[in-house]
Amino acid sequence: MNADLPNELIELLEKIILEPSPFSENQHLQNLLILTAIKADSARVRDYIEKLDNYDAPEIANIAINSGLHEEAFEIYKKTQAHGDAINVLIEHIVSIDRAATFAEQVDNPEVWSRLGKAQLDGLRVKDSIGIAVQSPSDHRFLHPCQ
Amino acid sequence: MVLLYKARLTIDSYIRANDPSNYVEVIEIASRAGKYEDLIRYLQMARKTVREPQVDGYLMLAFAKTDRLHDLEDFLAGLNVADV
Repeated sequence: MNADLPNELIELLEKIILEPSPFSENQHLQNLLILTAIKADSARVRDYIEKLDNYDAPEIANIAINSGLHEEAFEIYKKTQAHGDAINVLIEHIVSIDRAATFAEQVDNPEVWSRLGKAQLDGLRVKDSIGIAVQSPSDHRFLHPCQ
Repeated sequence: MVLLYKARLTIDSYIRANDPSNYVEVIEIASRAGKYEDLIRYLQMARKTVREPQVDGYLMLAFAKTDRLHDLEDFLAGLNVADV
């Protein structure tokens, strides 16, 4: 990375990780390949997430979120069965209650249903507050519904 | 209409989670949406683990609102912590 040759590094790492070699299963190298792709060539990240199995999933998912790769972070959590973290990405970062509901149907576990319920509840309460504020334009209490 | 539909979805999620922890808020949105049938299903789940007058009280109210008077009688004949 310091030499600023990320594409060459990706090419090299692909050779020793994706093709059979004594280093194919090395966690540090798998991490390095994914992290390099996150920084330099994010279109490749999803493919690595699917193909590789030995990377540090929680750490990589976290970095993916901070780099704006929310879909990729979701895929990592889904693949490693971190269902609570996966639905959190859908709710907080991708901001899709519909997808969260579909995901809850798929995995059908209490933790995920609970997280979905809370998100739906929060959504209703926000809508409620806005609804009340819109209906009562003359009421000073509702001038700043978000405060 | 959206509120009614979403209130039911929210209640369904909490029932499938078997999670009564946000019962105060759920009671509030269900009552506001007039979803007493759904509230009954939710409160029956909740009172398996939560012993709160508010839970039992709203269950009675929901039975009354939906004309389920036999259920209300059975409920009053059994153990409950409602403030009657």
